[in-house]
Amino acid sequence: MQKSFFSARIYGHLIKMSLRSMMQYRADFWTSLAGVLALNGANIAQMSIVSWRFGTVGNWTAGDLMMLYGLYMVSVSLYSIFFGRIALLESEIIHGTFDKYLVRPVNVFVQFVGGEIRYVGLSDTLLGIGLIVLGKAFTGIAWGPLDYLMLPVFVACGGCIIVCIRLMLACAAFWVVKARALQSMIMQVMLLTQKYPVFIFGDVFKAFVTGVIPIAFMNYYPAIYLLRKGDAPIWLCLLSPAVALLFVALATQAWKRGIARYSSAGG
Amino acid sequence: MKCYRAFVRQQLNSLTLYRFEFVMKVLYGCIAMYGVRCLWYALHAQNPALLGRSLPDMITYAMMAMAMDLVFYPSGDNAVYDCMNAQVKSGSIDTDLLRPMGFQRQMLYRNASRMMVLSWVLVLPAWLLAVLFMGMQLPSSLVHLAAFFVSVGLAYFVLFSLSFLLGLLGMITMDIRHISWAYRGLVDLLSGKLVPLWLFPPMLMQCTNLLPFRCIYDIPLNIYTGAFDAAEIFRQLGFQCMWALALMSAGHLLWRKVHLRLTVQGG
Repeated sequence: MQKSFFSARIYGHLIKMSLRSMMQYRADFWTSLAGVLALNGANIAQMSIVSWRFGTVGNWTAGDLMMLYGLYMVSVSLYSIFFGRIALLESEIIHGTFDKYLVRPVNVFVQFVGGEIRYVGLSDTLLGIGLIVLGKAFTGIAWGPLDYLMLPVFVACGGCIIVCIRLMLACAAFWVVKARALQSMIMQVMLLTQKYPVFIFGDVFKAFVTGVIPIAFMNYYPAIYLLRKGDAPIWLCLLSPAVALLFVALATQAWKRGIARYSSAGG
Repeated sequence: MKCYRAFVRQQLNSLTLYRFEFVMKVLYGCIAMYGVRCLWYALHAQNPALLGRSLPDMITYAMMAMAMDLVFYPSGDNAVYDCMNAQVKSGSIDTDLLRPMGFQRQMLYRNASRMMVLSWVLVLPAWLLAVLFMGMQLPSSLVHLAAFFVSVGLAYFVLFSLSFLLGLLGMITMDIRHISWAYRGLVDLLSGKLVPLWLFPPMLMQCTNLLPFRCIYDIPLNIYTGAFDAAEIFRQLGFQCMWALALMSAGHLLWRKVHLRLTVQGG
């Protein structure tokens, strides 16, 4: 317990350091916001053009798609802001720079992810919130207190799921060293689910993103619940917290086993 | 040509080191092709008349765009502007400037050789899998096939020139990370990669018809799917030639200006 408090305190210090350095580059934050807006603007424009031309995708309107994409963006932003360094694990292993975390008397994971806050992720958060608000306005659905309560729960669980999936994929580098392509492949699956309802990709794909790599719990099932779509049973939509917990346990195991197996590549 | 062959050999050696990555990348392409195929199937089922093309033509267009994206999407070493920016930051650009070959030509050879090798090992297998298992059509005639190859070559020149110009901008501003995100979004949308341009609202389509971005995906893919007759093919190839020449010349002239004020950061 004492060890956990110590790790949390160290993480807090690392975050504070990172925030201080971030505040030195305010202009950079605004240009990053513009860049993220333009990059995601292409996706939003694509959804808008398809909605304008075809009316709906399946039975999902433009407002529904905005909610879907917004939920994805906010969840992913939690990863981007606080855990973005996970993507660097492979290169740290290849260059042997991972060794430094192992010789210090502080939790390895805390040191590894705590060294940096990526403010670029904040742009995703703002854009995602904007899309959720717009999506709700466009669909005209009235939310009750429970819906407002469930929204942050879904976002937190979505963030948790993506962090754990990315950590497990990154941990593959402990075994095969070059694992970036594996990550890219799963990211490609995520690109499909981020802006279109999963059912249009067929039953096999839907089963895959529900039961194997459960990214449908990041935005698809929460959106069904919040938009009252009726495309899936309510109990399935409310499974997000259980899936998140399961994946935290799996990712913890993968990380521990990876560390135990790690042998420095030199550097 | 001897120089170019040496560049190709060098790229082939470095790229074939990690075979696992290639298998994953081909799979990545296949997932992307499967995704767009499902999307256009779903939209076709809603209202076939709104597609503006037959379903086989539409999915061929969309899947071929994803196959081309495997080499055209600027990521890692594919991104000319990232390479240029990294060279300035690390100081390694001074070695390039000592070589008895123009800088623009060196970048072109280096990048084109990589693209050529990647086309063999990534696009060709992905294309073959799509033809065999996903219903992608072959080009409508041998003339269209030949014209498609010419058009892809010109598309590459346009893409390279735009990236080179962005790289030059990075030499002035020293950091183009955020600008490059906006650039990627712009290319993705206005080139017809995400949504074919004929589905755009008329006003937007008129604008995109004048811009160089449609040279990258829209023209080669329309040639591949047989949407253009012989006269139209010549007209469109002429349009691509014009933009390729204009942008290559602009890059050449701008490099001469930038070279005079180039500050190398590292070394």
